[in-house]
Amino acid sequence: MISEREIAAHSGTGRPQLTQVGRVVATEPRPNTAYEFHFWTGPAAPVGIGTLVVVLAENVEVYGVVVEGWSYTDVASAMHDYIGLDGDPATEPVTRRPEIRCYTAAVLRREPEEPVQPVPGGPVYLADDLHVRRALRMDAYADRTGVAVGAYQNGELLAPVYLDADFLLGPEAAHVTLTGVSGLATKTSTIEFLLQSIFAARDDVACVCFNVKGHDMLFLDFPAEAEPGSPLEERYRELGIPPLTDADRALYRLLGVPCRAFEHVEYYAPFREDGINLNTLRTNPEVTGNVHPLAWGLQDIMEFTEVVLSRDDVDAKADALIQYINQKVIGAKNGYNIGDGRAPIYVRTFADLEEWFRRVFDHMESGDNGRGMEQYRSHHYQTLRKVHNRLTNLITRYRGLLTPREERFDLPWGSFRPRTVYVVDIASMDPQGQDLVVTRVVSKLREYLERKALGVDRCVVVVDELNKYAPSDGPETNLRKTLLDISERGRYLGLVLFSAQQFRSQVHKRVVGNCGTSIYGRMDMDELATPGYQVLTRAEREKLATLSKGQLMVRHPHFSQAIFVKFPRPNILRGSDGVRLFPPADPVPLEEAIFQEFSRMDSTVQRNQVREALADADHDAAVEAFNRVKVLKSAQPVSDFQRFIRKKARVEEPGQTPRSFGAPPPVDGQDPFAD
Amino acid sequence: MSLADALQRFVREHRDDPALRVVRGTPQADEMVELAPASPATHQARVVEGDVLERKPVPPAEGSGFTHFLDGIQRSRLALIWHGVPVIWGYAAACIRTRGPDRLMRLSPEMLVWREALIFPFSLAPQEELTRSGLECVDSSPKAVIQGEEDNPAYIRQYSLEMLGDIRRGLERALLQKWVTSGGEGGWLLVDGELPDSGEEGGLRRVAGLIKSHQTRYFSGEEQRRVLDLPEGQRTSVFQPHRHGYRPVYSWYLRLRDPSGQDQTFGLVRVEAPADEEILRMAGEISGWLLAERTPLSLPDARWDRLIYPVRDCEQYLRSIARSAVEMDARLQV
Repeated sequence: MISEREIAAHSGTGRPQLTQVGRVVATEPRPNTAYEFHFWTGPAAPVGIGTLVVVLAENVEVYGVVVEGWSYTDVASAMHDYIGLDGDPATEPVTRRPEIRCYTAAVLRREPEEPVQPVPGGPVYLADDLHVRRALRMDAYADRTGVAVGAYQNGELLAPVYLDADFLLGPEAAHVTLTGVSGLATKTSTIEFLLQSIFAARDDVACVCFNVKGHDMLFLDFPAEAEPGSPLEERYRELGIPPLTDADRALYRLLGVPCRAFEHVEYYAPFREDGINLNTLRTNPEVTGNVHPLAWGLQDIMEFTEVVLSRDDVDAKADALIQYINQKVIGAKNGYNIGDGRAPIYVRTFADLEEWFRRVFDHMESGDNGRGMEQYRSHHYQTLRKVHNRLTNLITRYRGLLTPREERFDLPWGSFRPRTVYVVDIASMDPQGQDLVVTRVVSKLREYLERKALGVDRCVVVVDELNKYAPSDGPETNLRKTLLDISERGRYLGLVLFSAQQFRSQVHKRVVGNCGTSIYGRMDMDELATPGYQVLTRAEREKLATLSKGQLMVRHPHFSQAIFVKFPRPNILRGSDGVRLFPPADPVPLEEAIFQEFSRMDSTVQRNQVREALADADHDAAVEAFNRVKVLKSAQPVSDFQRFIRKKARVEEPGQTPRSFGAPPPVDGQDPFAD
Repeated sequence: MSLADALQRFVREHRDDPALRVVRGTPQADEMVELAPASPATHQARVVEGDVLERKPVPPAEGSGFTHFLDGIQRSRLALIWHGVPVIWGYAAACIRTRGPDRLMRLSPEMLVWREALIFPFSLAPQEELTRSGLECVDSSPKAVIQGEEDNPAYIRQYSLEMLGDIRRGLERALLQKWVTSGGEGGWLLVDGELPDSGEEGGLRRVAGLIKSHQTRYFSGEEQRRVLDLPEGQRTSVFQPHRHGYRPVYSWYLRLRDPSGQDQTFGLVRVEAPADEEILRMAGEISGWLLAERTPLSLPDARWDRLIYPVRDCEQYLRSIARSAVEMDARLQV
């Protein structure tokens, strides 16, 4: 129970500074219980759905949140009013009927906790700062593991509301599911603010965001308003990008979250089909400094064949062959001896695999004294042909993401940095490609976190449109299994799922059920009519359907009831403003791409140097060499590029023999082209 | 200690007393139910506005000039049989409610009075033991006017209830006196029922009474027909009823609602006001105020055709603070 001393310390006057707004009332048809009570107020009382109140009775304090309200007058029938005014609604009677405002409040907490008795009669007060803290049980964790989610508002009172990091990021509970209608930017804004808040409170957390729609999360590193005096200030103004309001800044201050954009953001996007330009909207040269390619090779995806290959295609025989290739062929330490009398083949890339299949087929077709072999090491010729077809076709299907060559671009596994957001832009990919990227990234996160080798203790994975990736019905997909696994085991590993969706009812119930925290923005009435929302009162549902921007309803393990909060507009450039400020650049030809990239690596690079280096070079070889220079992060990009071009063109250098497809890798196993 | 507390304690302490029998589960009666209508009577009256009783159309009023409203209630139940005599628990209360600028009704400051007592004829049962236990008792013997029937239990109940009515009227009169003394805040007071005798010469100003029952008639023949056929929105000439022993008042009839297809007295009220020249001039205006008071309706009250809403508001208020039948039943459990 709040002591007088505590209240005195809080109010500074020695007496509670609480405003009485009502009085508990219990009637036979509408009695109070241990979990719900009713009270009435004057018509002007600032009480509404979501208001936190406290009942101060003689021996008990009861905290409640208003979940329903109703009012009535003493008119017994509408007909009485109609007759009384002669059917003229404009008539003003000389006496106004008294109108009572009654509210139902759900009990949030009671002190003392025992015995659990019906709420007694007594005066009802508006909860102030201190009582909000007590009502939501935040006094137990706010100073230790609190993560601000917003502010509870009642009139001029703004009280911070904290989530418990132990229940938000694990290990006690974890995960957040965020539901709201599209188009209000509530979901994106909420996730951005919550991440800012987490980063403000913790220094062991990183975040991986999958940008699945347009430009939503492509400018997290730019503020919503330019710093005064910065070069961007005028451009922000010209484009009419709305600045933050004083109220937003005040909320940031109140919640103890720095009012700034994310300081560390890295973007990843697959290539376009040309293998040069990235398939993202963040291609304006002014902002590509932290945009990186995402390109995976054969070994990266072989453990995800069930994701990339159609389930109908991979029968038991094909699956056995794929497993064989995965275990015996790819990455065999001493190469794979096909048995055709030639040197062992080393398979590391799709090109190597193609070569392996070609030699196997040659061997089978010429084997058995020229009659041809039906089986190769217990695998039937037709199975081999089928798997060959499916695997080599992946390069075409996932063009831009999968590379036939050795150069690969990936997230910085093992060296994730705290308070950094890694945005993986898969908005332009087809659903299959999105599935592959999300599945593999999440699997790798889990793998590294299990080994405690990711570089951070916890990683938040942000997935929008979860009803698409983990639907409540439809076929079992690998991605859905992965997301289910995160939701069920992630909290122990430090892998936390922040999901957003328009229709929570369409998300797999195990995912939803495992989310410790649920946040709701404005909701669609059809969605609210689904059974999952029947735990809310009608008034709460009505309020959810009319929430304005910046308002949320939060359910959290420490809160006995749903709480309405408001949060500031994040100081982050909206995606739509970002693409106006930094319009995406058109895809550039190879020479321009190389010049732009090399200029970033070495500011002395001249355009004619690049042109000369490219002269007479094979296009594919130039692309490969270009990507190798990027992987190397070379300090002399032009000279390295030229060297790779020459090697690819089999220009022999003294004492060096270029590695051909299937040739053994160098002893150090790192870069076969290193000098 | 309240009477209810004292009664509860008394009942417990005397559970084995053969002189006491607790009566539980009897219905609790409000004023409407218990008061038998007064016997029909004819009183004389003198028309003071003109020579004969006429019908007069009431000029429409923008609103109502009444700002204060006085009414009282009484509740009773048979609580005990004490030495073979029925003892009535009686509760009476009165209040003045004010209609503010926001047109909402509120209790006027310090304008609430109430009294709770056990009522029975002291001549038939001793009251000392009861009063020693802190129970306020009121002797109803003076109301027993039928010789030889004083100890008839049915008559005892009747005259004890009449005593309770006197108590209520006393409270109403006291409140009216208080309002008059306070200057009435410059407003007009409407009293439910006949104007009580204020006891102060010239003291009753800006006060009117609204009588809803018509057991007493003041006119007969053609004049009576004019009263009973009074159309909606019309009043009669002002007359002065003869009230034996009381200060004179002026009065007139007013039809609040269209009586078509209804009883002759539907919507018919009689207004009383102090007998002075000002009232004679204002009879039309006051009638207009009362017509304006027709909205909002007092439904679902059965007297809605004559009961104006602010008076009903007074009753509702008083009933909300009165002791409930449930509580009395509980307290009388031994």
